[in-house]
Amino acid sequence: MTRTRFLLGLSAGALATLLVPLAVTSCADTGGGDGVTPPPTPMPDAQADTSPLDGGCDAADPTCVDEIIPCSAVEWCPVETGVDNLYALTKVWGASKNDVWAVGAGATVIHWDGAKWTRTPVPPALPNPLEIRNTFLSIWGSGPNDVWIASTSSTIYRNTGSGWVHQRPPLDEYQERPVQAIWGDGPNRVRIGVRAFSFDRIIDDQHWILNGNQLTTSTNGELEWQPEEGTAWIFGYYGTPDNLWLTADNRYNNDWQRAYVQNGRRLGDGGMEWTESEVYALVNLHAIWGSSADDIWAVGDQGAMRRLRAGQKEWEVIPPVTNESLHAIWGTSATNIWVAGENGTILHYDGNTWTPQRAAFPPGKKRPNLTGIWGSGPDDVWIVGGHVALHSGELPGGVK
Amino acid sequence: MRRPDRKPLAALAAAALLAVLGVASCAQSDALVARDTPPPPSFTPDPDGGGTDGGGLPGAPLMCIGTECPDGFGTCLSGPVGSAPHKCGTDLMRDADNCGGCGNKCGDFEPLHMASRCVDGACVAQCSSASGGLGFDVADWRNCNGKIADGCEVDVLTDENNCGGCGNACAKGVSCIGGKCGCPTGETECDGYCVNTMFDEVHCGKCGNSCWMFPSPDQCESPPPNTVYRCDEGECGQLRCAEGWIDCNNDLLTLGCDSDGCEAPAGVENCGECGKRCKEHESCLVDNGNAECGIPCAKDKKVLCGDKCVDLLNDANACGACGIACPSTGPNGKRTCTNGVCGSECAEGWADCNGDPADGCEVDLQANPDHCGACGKQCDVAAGQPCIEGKCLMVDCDYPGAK
Repeated sequence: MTRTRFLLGLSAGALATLLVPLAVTSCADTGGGDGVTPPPTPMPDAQADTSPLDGGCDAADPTCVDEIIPCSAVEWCPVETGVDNLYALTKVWGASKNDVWAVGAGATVIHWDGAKWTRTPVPPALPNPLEIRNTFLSIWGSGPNDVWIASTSSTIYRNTGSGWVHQRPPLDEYQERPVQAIWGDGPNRVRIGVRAFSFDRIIDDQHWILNGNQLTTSTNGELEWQPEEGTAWIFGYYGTPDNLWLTADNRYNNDWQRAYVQNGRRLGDGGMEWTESEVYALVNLHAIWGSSADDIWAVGDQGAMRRLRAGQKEWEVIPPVTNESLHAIWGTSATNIWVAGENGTILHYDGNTWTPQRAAFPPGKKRPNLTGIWGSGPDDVWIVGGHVALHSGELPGGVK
Repeated sequence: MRRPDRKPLAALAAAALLAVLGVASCAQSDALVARDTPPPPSFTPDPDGGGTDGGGLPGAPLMCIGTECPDGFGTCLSGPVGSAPHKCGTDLMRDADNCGGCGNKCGDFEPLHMASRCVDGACVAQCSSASGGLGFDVADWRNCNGKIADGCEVDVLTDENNCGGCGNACAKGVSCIGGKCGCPTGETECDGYCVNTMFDEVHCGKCGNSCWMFPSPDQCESPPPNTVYRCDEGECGQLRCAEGWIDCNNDLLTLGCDSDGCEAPAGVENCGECGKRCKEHESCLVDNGNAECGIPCAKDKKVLCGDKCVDLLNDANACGACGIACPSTGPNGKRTCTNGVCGSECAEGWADCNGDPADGCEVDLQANPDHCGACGKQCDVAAGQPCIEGKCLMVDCDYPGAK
């Protein structure tokens, strides 16, 4: 069996930032509350009574969907996004049930208003005047009028309610780095995690060149990015600004250290102290999430799952329930968690057992590599990846 | 069908080379030997068990496991990097390091402009060509005289008697340049190169007339802004606009030294002609000397990264963004970029069976009897059953070594 592995990783689902307790804030605005909305459009080929297999991929390919699956028979239903199949969706985040963003390749940024997905324009990343075509790898917001997306260090954008605005790059053009993780660093502050870069620092009148992998800035006024030391390529964050977890790949520093998790604690002087937390994994852990500060999960390649609960000194190795690589994790409580990954993998945890869930993937196409999850609550969850945006829960008009 | 009988295992590469050279034809374009190369034969039965490699009747199932290497396969300890020494894991028909037998390496013969490769268990010589590059001239060597001793003796890119191919002689006094006799219309041969003497600074008007060595005596003491003297219409010292500038008020030719020179920058403000302004986000693109407004690389649905057009949706060295290369993989793996997202997969015929990314795709599914064709698909190793081309060897029960 050959191996296929996608390398996204990142901020699992992303609840609204400054959550204390962590699981509550994201569900705060779930009412919809905008009156009657037209029913959304499920993807045409997700309907049980429509088109036959279109032969878009080799039927002998085991990753190919060879049956028409009705949405009514499964937990997850694709919703039409209007995005060209050429462009993979990568991440999803929302401020509320009717205010959800998804990003992906070809500078794709789409917005869900409760009824439909609509593409939003992204201006050029000046000084490059050309149309941006990058793949956006990360999204995070502190609220409906403060949303951040990023592809690389020179293509970071912020939306405060009036469209996407290019942000001052934290690194010079010679150190372009992919940005897979964005998170809050406190009130009016933001943090990004990147692949390692180098920066200058004067220590005791001596000039040093150091490795960095995180940058933080105040979001008021012009951004002044401050580097933090580190060597690992950061995939995702989870936690609060004062008690933050990250998952990363440190193989470029230690070639065996593909799974690398750190916990950051805020110091009295405002800085962060980062401590490595051994997770006992040889493979990349692409996403990290917790139902609270006392219950943290990390998932990654080859079905790897790790869990750290209050009182435990070491991460618990969860027996894998799949061999597929897992790229996203999000939930609403310790007993209601979803994980998504390659080859259309979706798993649900009820507090005791991880159970595979099915989606009405379009027939005649490969099962997508799912890389992002977010929901406003237990009955309104989105999973994105590849060519689909999947939804679980009732949408207006009775569509799942 | 059985594979053709092999050459004696001790056949040396050089001997094979000389043997095939002896029947070389002048008509051959790039190979010395006209030799049919049948599709690689298989030694494993069809999936339905109807193979006859073990000597059985067509359609008859092969009931016994094979334990001896089938014809054409061996167990060689040396080989290409990554080839594990599995039993019968060496393809003696195609392995250039073990061609026809373990250790028979197909060599190259650079002084004679020849290389060799392994075809059906024998080293087959062919003429080599220099593809150019730093320190190398482009050459296309052929064996035009059919003789063995001097190998591939003619470069058909430069040989006047064999220009472009053996036997194609150029007319007397005409050179062979790049495989063609003489120069294209409008160009003149100077020092073995085709140049346009109308605009060439070194051969202006005629071969050897260098404008640098013979400047015009009536040049301006101080040339007008953004102008240069260059070869134009076969004459040196012509005052013209410097590259990137345009003379919009057309006074350069009339006023000469007293003109205001080339006052308008070419580009988005004056794309191809004065006053032709490109729209916002457009660039002034120059293609074959013609300037037009447009988005760089857009017609190919690519993106300009530095000075190259790149497909951000499929290029593993720029996946999703200029300069963002997908992470390296372990051994026998390959990086992928699909729909703008990085990934990795095993190279064809290899698999990651132990789940350890450190050793990448460590299993050769074609020859590993513990993972024959798929991870965990084990041959009868205790009995000595090898994995041949991804299948555990089955043979007729009267075949040698059958169990």
